[in-house]
Amino acid sequence: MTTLELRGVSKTYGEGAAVVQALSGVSLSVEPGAMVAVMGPSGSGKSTLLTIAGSLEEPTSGEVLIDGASLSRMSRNGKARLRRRSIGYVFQDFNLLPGLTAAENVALPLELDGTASRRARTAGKRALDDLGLGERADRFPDQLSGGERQRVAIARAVVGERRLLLADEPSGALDSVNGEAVMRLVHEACKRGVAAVVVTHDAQLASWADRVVFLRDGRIVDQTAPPAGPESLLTSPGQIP
Amino acid sequence: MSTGLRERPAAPAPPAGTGNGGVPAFRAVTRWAWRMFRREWRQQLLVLALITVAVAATIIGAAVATNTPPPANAGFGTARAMATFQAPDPHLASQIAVLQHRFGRVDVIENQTFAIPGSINTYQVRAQNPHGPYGQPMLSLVSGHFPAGPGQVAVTSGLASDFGLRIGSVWHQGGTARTVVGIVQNPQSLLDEFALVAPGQVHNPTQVTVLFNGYGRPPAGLAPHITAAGSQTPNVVNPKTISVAGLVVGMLLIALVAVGGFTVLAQRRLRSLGMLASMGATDRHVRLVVLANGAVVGVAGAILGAVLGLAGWLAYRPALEQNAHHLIGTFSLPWSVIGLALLLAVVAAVFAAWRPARAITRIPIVTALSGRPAPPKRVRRSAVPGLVLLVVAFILFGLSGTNDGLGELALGLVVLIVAVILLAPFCLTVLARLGRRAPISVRLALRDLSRYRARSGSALAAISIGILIAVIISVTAAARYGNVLDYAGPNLASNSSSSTRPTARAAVLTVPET
Repeated sequence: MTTLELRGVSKTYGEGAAVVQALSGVSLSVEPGAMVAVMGPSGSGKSTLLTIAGSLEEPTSGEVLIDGASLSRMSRNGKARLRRRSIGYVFQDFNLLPGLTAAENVALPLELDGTASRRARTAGKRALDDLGLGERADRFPDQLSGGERQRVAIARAVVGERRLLLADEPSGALDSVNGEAVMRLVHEACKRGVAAVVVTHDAQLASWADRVVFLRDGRIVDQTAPPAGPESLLTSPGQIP
Repeated sequence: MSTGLRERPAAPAPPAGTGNGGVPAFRAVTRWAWRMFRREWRQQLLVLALITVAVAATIIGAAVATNTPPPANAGFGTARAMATFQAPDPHLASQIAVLQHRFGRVDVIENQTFAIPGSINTYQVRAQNPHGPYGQPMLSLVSGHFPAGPGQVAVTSGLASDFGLRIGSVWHQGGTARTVVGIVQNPQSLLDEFALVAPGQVHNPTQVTVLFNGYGRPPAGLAPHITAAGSQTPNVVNPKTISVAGLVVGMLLIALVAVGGFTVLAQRRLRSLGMLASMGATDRHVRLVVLANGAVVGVAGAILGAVLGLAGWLAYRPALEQNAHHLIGTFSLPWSVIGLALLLAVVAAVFAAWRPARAITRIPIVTALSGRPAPPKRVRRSAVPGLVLLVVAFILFGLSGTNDGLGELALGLVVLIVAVILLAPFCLTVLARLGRRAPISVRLALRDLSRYRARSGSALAAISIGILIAVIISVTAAARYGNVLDYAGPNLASNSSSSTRPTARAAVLTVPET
């Protein structure tokens, strides 16, 4: 089953003369385990596409399906439940909750979904361990570096049984080394069956994706499978470029 | 940096049917609210300080108000009734015997009054059993011991001072020499100056008081002598009800101010709340964060206020004992009023947080995540109903003056407060228009107040009502102070006294003492 499907999604902001067409009839499918990069100039509708896909915003027209379930038929609480259980977000500026430790940030979606605090915390620490942040689990966000914060955000996005990872410029606030590391983590998550949509300006980082979608003025103007990414160099022994 | 996912982080499946996450979600959200309060309590200092001061003032004020009047059992000890006889009375012994027969145990206190030489003041020589069944609360030992025989006496400190006595002195009084063995006092009346002797040692009493627990009809002929404890008609307007009324009005004003404070705080946390919602928090969770913050502020303010109030009470209690002329127990406090104050502090804070909590859930998540302040809320047009209510309030005040009615006055005040609340946003708009030619900083401030008048209006209303109350108190106090016929007016000459006939309010007599 397709994890994420957008059918003719349009979004307009404002009224009258101030109307802005953010998206126009965008259709997109993302299969389980696939990683799709979305590229385009500023104002092309990349972030709007992501927020609509993640049920944070309503499309003006069109339909969004996650695991076959239409968002338009869901209540506000139903969408909130979907975000807790199926969708993980990674934002450019991390969006970790101040006042909560790294482990508590990761465990929060589980606790909001009714998992007992201790079990959620254990799951959160395991998620951080898996991302090499086990020793930083009790640190607060302002005690972590940018790269560490983004890894915590990724741990929070994949903890539990999430099937869809939406990342809006996840490496935008990081240096190139940390940016590559973040993309590697997203790629690793996709290998385990998570579908990912990553908005990025960086063509180098987009090369991690299975497919690249180009947006301009709210329309998909091109879709392409990128050339073999950096990992292909490691996974194709015997071939010398 | 080199990291990699070894395996998918597993999490236990959430229990089915917990749409709002149940207790774990509640705990997680309130924990976060508490952490945020600890990090940002300085931003809520105004509301916290207001609640703290209100609770502390209520505790001290109510404690002083309820403890200043004489105790309800003053003169009765632990007895339910008392019979007073003027001596000499040839039937005294038989009347006491009748009371004893009818009601069981009695406590007899005999008094003989003497003048203090060189003074217009008097003192009493009192024969009372210090360990009597009912009179113990009216007698306490300051130092030494109680008199045990005919040659012993214990005196109050005032009397000791007047006669230059101390423990061990021999006092020649009424032709009898007695050794001073102790210093005593009447805890229920520190103005009560007396010399305590052993029972039966007052030979010519001028007054005899018999304390007993009287149930049912008194014996024939004794009814005029008997007074029951607490026989005065209870007054609804007593210190407790006045304290509660002041508390309720005070907390209402604080809640009005706190609405603005919590709204600003919610706006500051808008992005964090957006993050929470993007993670799957429901509207209820988001509301809970703001409400929990309000509750935390209320609880913190209540606890701080209680500590401050009790400390103030402990510091002031000795001075109050001297002013009120009776001893006051350390924990003789109006606990029901204090409990209500603590409860109202929390309720007022939660009530104030309710409106911003609801408003914050109406902001789209994407807008919240952007951290942009929400556009000013459109205010419902409240000027016309406000003006109408203002007119109604003044009509009611007029009627209360002509009809002498308390009901119209109270209703008029309530209507006036509602009118002020409704008119406050309109006044801010008018103020902003009037300030068009003001310097840029003032103009910007006024314009900002006007743009966000939905929240600043409540603060203006609270300030206005606060000043209104202060003005009412000042005007009323000034009017009573200037009224020579008012029994509370302190402007009588030193040789005058006033009395009021209970059945006729207008009949106030001012009688010069000769």
